[in-house]
Amino acid sequence: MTDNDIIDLYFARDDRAVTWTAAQYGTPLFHLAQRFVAREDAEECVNDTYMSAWNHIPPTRPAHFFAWLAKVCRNHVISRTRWNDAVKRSTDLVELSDELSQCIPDERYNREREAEELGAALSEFLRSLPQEKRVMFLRRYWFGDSVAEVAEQLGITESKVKVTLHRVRGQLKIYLEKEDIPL
Amino acid sequence: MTEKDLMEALNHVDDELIRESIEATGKRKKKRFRIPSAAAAMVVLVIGAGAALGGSVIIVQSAKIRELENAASVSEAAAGEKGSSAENNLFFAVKNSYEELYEALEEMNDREQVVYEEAMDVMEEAAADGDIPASGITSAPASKEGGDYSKTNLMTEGVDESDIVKTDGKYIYMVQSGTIRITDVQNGTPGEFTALMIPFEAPSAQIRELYVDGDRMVVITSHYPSQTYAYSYDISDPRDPKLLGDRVQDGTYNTSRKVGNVVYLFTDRDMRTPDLRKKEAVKDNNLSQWIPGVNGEPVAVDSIYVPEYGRNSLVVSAFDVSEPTETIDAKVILNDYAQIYVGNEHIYLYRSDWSAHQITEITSFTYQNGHITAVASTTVGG
Repeated sequence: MTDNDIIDLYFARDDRAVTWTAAQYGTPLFHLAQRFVAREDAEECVNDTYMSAWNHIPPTRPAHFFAWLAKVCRNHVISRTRWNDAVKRSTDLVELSDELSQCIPDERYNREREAEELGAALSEFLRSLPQEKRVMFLRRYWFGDSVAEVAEQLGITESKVKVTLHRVRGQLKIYLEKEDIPL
Repeated sequence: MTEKDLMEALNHVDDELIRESIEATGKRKKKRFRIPSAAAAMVVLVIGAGAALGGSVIIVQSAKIRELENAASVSEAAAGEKGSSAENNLFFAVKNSYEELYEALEEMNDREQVVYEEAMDVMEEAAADGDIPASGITSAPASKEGGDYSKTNLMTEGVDESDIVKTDGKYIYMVQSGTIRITDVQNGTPGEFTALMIPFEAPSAQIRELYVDGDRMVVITSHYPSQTYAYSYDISDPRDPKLLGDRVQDGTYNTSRKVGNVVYLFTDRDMRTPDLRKKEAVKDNNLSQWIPGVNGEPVAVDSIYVPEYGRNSLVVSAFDVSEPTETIDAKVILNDYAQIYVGNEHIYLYRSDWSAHQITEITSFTYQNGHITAVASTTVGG
């Protein structure tokens, strides 16, 4: 069963589409969600992802099915995150948030920006990086992988991952400061 | 701007970049699982891409099935030649008491790191294996007796698979909107039909699949939170099916098979120690909090196979279609989402490790008249 076959089932409004989606991608989606939220919330997020897939395909036909599902799942995760309740936030998320906070420009540059606009700026920034750094950044902050996991995936040492990510965060901060300077 | 803004904004990063980070790491990933020595007697099978779903939607590569059978038979033979118990060769261990089982699960808690990239690999493997050859599915020949009609496509001759539509050549039995629609087709065209309501145990229950064989029909349903039911009917008069009984098994429905009059029901359930001290957890009245049950009875500790990693419990029970309330045998096999293949004599659980040195880990179980016995585990290249 290829991704296209599954997507065709969605287009045919055949509910086996969801069954197949769960069989093929349920596990990775759950692990992705569990990086950021508690187990029970992760299960809900994955179920919400299936529902979103059912509601959006058609008309959407994802070019890369899993990347699309992961994005939808991550959206549900972020929506469900109890940002103000430290107890409910997963350890991983607290750690990731702390690291990401180092990218936030100073208050004087603070400007409300739409997530979409900011996302586009992040894409541009990431494209300017060498592939390894780009992948490292996304594995860490998009997928929520641990430093050790990223090191293993890329075949490099943990300390190299830490140092590189530290530098990339610094570069991103500068980039966002520039981007946020009012014209 | 806050961390939350950044986390949200990351979700708007181009799909292409996300895809790149999936593909770039998947190819470089190293092997994560340690393959235990035979003496260590433990597990890890399975991880589940394209888990068998039952009925006509089950798709497994025929080549892989042949490899499984060959590898398993070699392993069994090797175990026999050594003059040792075949179970000594297993990747699983059976604990002597619920206390030991509790301790093993706690140790697993400490040891286990759920490996996201493993799952990513599964995803890629599933995508790579997408072009399933047509030869992977065998069609049962049309009946030579009661007329010319087709049956559910089967992976193994003689091992029936459930489906959402079945026919005996005279009636069509179809899952439809929470009922079984039984339509008389003896005149060659759809005639009278009966809509059979299943006595669901929960409002959220859904009919998954069914079996029809002679004057027996088995309907499998599942409902949240994760229980699977099987209802057995006498359909000697298809216009008036009679409920013979039902059974319940913990876990979400994975797949099932029917060989002769015996149905093998496979369900998945997460298994963790409860929020109780060991002394309390192992008391009879607390076992159901963490031990999967079949017909309300927690599975016996000597029927629970414990690996080194993997906390999805594959619950397998066998019952006779005419006596659904009686359990012939029940086993729990802890794993990390198994792929299942059921041959004529064996049940195989297998997991592929897509590291640089690709291997597939296989464990076989024999099944006979409903009794399931672990035989041997092995690994093969590829």
